[in-house]
Amino acid sequence: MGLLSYVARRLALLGLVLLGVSMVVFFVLRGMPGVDPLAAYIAPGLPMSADALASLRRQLHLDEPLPLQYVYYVANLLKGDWGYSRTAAQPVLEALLARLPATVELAVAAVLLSTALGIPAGIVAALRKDRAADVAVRVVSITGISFPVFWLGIILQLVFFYYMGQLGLPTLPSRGRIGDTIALIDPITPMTGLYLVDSLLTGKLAFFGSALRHLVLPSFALSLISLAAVVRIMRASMLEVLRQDYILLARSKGLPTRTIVMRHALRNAITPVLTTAGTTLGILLGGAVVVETVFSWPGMGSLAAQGILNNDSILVVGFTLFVATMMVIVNLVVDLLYAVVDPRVRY
Amino acid sequence: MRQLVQVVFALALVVATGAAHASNDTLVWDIAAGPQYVDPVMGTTAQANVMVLQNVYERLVWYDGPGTQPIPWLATGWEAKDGGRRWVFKLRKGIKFHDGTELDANAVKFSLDRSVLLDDPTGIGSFFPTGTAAPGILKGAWEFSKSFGAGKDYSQAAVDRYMAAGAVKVLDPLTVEINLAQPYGAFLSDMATFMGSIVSPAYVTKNWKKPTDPNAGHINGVTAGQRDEWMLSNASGTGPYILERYDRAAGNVVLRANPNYWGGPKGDIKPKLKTVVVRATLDQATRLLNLKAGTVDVADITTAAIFDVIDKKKWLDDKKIEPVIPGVAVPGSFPWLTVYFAKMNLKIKNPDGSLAAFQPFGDIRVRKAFASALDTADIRRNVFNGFAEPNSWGLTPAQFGYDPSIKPGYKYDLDAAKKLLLEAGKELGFGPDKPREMVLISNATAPWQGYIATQLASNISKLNVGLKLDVKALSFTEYVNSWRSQLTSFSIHSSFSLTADPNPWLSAFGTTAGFWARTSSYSNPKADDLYKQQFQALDPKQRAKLISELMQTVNDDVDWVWIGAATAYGQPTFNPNVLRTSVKGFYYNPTYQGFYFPALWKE
Amino acid sequence: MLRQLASIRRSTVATTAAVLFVAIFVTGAVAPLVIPASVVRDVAFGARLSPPSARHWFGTDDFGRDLFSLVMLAANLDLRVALSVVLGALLVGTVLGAVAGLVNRLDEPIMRATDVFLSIPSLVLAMAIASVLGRSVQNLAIALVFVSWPIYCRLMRGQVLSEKQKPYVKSLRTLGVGPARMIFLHVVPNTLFPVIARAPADVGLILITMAALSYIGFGPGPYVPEWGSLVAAGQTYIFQAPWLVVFPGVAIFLTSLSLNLVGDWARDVFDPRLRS
Repeated sequence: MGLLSYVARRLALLGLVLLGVSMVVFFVLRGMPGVDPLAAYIAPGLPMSADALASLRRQLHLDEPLPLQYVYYVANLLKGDWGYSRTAAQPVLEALLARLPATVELAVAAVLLSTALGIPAGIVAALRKDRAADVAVRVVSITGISFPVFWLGIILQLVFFYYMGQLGLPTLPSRGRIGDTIALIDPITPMTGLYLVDSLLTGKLAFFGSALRHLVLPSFALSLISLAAVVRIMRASMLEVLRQDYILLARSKGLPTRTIVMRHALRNAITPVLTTAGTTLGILLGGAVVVETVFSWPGMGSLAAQGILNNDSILVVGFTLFVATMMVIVNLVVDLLYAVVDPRVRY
Repeated sequence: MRQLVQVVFALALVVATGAAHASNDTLVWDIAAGPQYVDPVMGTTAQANVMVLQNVYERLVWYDGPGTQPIPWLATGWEAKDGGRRWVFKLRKGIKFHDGTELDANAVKFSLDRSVLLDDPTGIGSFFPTGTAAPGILKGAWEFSKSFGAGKDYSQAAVDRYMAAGAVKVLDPLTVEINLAQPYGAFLSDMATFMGSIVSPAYVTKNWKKPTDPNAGHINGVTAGQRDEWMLSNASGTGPYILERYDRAAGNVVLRANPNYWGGPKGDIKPKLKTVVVRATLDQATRLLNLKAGTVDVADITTAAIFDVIDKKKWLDDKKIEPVIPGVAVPGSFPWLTVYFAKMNLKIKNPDGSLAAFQPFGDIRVRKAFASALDTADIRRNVFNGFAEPNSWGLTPAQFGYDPSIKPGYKYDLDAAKKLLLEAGKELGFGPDKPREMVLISNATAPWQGYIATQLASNISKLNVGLKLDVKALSFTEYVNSWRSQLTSFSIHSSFSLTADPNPWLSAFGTTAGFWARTSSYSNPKADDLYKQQFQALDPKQRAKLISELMQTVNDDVDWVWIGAATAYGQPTFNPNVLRTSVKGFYYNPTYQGFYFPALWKE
Repeated sequence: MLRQLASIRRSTVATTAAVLFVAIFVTGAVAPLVIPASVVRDVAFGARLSPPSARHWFGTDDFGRDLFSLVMLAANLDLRVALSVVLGALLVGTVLGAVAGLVNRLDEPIMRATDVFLSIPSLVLAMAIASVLGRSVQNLAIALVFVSWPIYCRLMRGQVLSEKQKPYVKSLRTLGVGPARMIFLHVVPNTLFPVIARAPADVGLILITMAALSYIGFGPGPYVPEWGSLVAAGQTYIFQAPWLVVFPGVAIFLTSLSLNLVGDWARDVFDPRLRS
């Protein structure tokens, strides 16, 4: 089956899934039994006048049958009207896009950290199966997923910001993306919105340094979520690959383990890790909500968390839709790349 | 261009803060929340605003150091005529504004008229110069004000009517006459607050744009009913410090000593600190670390965290302040203009506006019982960490009119509370065999309210009189709406006063239309009458007597529980002033709401 | 099956973990019987924020309440909710999964539905549902069930499909055994256990998700002890009273760890795909 038809099928599937997601999201917003859809638009404690409520009803087409409301809803989504968020005092899509770079920077750093740590750990565990190193790696990775991420973030703040500060040692910042003073002296003009990238592109090294320091603790906390998964998948897939005939052949030829692993096994073993990148991203985006709150990181996640406290369901639901879309798209991209690389996948 | 300016400011900030460590003529202050604006006609609950205003602008009268009697400041003297309805001030010659223009009677007229005409609903108007009841304070202000008074619109006709009423008249370049709608005992002390600030008319007018709408009422320099965007972030006064830079978004302020300052009434005031940098640092832990490291001279440390700075036992038990960090001093606890209290709603309403079926607080026995179930001493000691003093009325003990001989109508006594509730329960329909539920609300963003509410709920529930109290923490908007709509039964609050004069609180707690009283439907005609009398009393002794009577009358009704008066500054977090020992000259004046920088120097 | 369960003794790690979990479970179950409910409202401001001592093993919080009692009471709530959520998700998931596996026409739609649910991160979807339903522990539980059923559905379907192909099913059919008997006596026992093996780890995950949501602000308030909201409340005083954050966090960690270790072992034993 050709590449093009595979791409076409995957795109169609993506469309279907997104449609499904929009249906779920719509149902959550308008169709939950016993919940008045208007409640989301009213700030708690600030009642609206009857006129305002009536006009809102008309605007949202609440008196039409549910399927028709859904059509209006999707039409609005496609037009870019995802509703207005009380919390952000902006249209939802605008608010999310404005904070997207911050979350992306955090998530990417976390992914890099978890793969940089997780892949070698998985390989070692596979090579030393059932021996001390294997057990150690597995225990550490299980410990990693058993840690509530928000708690880990707080403990990291306590140790690296407060206790180190008390002892007079250099500290890592506990909140925000950038130091207040640096932001005042030498601000960068946002281009991509990713501080590390923008500051390097304009040669502002002090800014880069501060942004990097602020990234350390939150990305480390976030990376722990996916670390265990990466280790487990890497280990399982490596074990699988090591049993293959061509590996046995290589061994019988007397090739050192290192060459076998790096040259032959790794390329095939690593693919499952990459294919789950989409799901991993999803988990990270979920975890980002918590990590961003703990570290006051100005990303989409902390905005959504504020939305919850404010009963701003429009924002929270919009965030859900946005994240799901991101996940689906990333999955698609990964699948497509995989299909380009490995033709066996295409059917 | 704006970017360049911001960079320059930021550089200046960093240079200033960097140099502060070495230089003795710069003061750096890490503040919990920066000023919202610097226009003296805007109301505020952020002390940071007033602190800037106090150093950049000046008033006709003010205070000598820590004294609390107004003395001539920009004026050289005054006369009260017509039984206090007409005041004539003579001005000092040769005082210049920061923009170089000279202070004259016209500037006074402009400043006062401006504060009436701007009429922002969040502005100072309800205190001064418009007031909260007819006939108002400045003549014609009540009739004009749409936000607080009887005004209907901001047409040119309305503006002309106000100007024609003649509230402020220029008699000659150095003499100004102020006409009041009624005798007002607190007039001088109000004029001594930031609300009486004199701004440079030339500066305001230069940056003012004439309204394009032909119907918009205005005078040269002021559009009626409209905020002045420029003046929200810029200033030109006569004060000892110039507002060099103010970054509203970040909450940072840089003040520079005024080289042409006139020197004060005795000519001896000369700011020793050339630069004052106030920067908003939101994180308490960072402020504390900065203070320890010596990179800041003053830091806002909340009462909740104060035992990181002073010894807990010595403070709570011996009332001695002993810093535990070297190089840090805490000048002490000072009466601040914030009181904590609880109120009992006499007419509890349902969300739809109808009266609730169960009205426990209509019965004075229930009110007395609840008031007797709150251990206010414990709260002052352990919730406010000792930074609150007991008060027997809703004023701070340092305020004029406060009478320590007045007794509240209750004292902490759980047995008495139990007896009263068992008795009242028989008539109101609750008892140990017929328990009733009640909900206390608190503000989720102010945890101290939750603590107090929980203590009360626990105490009352344990009495076993048939009342089961539950505590609910609401978001800020819900909480405000709850008590404004009279949905609450028993609620806990703090109140901050813009002025040291007792009028705002006397009216709020004692009069039927008062800000707090009306949300509890509290009304006592005798108190209303006493309030009016003291409002117009010009003789301080006479006024004090009337205030005492008013206090006792209100206390006999037991609708308020006085929890304490703050002795730490700031709102919404309460911060004792924490300085490095190199900062000298700090004194406290109960009428101040912030630092007066000319008094300070560094060694 | 019992044989497989008994094999836990062979793994010291799993046995210790199981014992730990049982200990926590028993503590949680017993807590409301031993600790008076009034501890939640017993304020003692004089003893606020005091460090761990003989009287207060975990120290006291900002109300002056004994943190040890609060953490134990919270164990009750957290475990109850997490276990009932997983139970609910198991029920819904396995039924729908079995249907998908057995009834061809319904397979595709049910699978697409799980696709949709699985493409939304669980914390985020739970947030969205709970935020619309309103802040309460029940709504949180409902939201979490919504989020957890797809995995079980998929697993069950996979199991049923592979079981359907097995020769013994075909021979039972030819022997005339009715579909109902076949399902309950034969298919279910062989398909269910791998699915259930997933449950312990899931309880751990649900526990952490619930605590995270409470931490963000979805918690039941300061008068209903819950581990996540205890951590959130303690964060205000973190530098003065770090025990407020440490102990509830350790409780979540230990519970989740023991569940994950047991779950890991269970997967190794029951899930045929992972057997090497």
